Amino acid sequence: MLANLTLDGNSLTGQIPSALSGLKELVSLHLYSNQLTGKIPAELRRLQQLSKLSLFKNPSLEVPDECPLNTEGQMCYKSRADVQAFLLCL
Amino acid sequence: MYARRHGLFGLQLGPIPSCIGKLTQLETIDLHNNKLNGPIPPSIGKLSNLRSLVVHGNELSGQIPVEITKLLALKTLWIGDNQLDGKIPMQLGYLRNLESLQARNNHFVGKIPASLGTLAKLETCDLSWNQLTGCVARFYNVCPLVFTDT
Repeated sequence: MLANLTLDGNSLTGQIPSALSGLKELVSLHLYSNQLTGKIPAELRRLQQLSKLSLFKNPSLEVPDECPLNTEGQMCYKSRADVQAFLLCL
Repeated sequence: MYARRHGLFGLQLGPIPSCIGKLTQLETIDLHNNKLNGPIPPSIGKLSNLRSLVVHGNELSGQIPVEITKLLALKTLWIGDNQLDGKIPMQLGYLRNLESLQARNNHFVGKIPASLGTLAKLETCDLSWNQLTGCVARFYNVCPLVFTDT
C-alpha cells in the first residue's frame, strides 16, 4: 500500500480528497506548490503513520484556524509529532 | 551469454541503443546520472525479466514508450530528472508488481492516470515537478476493472 506520495510542483487543482485517509500506511504526503483549493479534509486525521506533510504554496487552500506552522510560517511538517499536531487542528 | 545486471553510472554516453531489447535476460538496468540522451527505446518492452529500470538523472527525451507497460515483472521504475514529456500512460496501471515509481522533474502533462490507484503493491509514487493538471482525487478514483483516460 502506498507509503509515499509526492506530487508537489505541479498544477493540480481542486480539493485534497478525503479518500486519501484510506491510505493507512501513508508516511509522507507532499502536495506543496500546486493550485489546490478548499478545506483540508478532517478525515486525514486517520493517517496515524503520517510523519511528513507539506501543503504550502497552494494559495487558495484554506488554512485552518490555530493551525501550527513551521518556523517559516508554512504548512510543512517533518516529524510525526508535528504532523499529528497539525491534523488535530483540522 | 547475457548480462543479468547492467550497472553503469557516472559515465558520459549517448542514446540508449535500441538493441538493448535483445538482452532478454536482463533483470536490472541501472544507468542513472549519465548523459544519456534521446528516447527510451520501445524495444525495452522485450525485456520481460526486467525488475528495475533506473535511468534517472540523464537527458532522456520524448514520451514514455507504451511498450514499457509490457514489463510485467517491473518493480522499480525511476525515470526522474530527465527531459521526458507527453502524458503519463494510463497503461502503467498494468504493471501489477510496481513498487516504486519515480518520474519527478520531467515535462509530463495531463492528468495523473486513475489506473495508478489500482497498483496494490505501489509504495512510493513521486510525480513531482512536472506540469500535471487535474485533481488529486483522480488518483484514488479507483475502478479496478475499467481504466479510463480522458
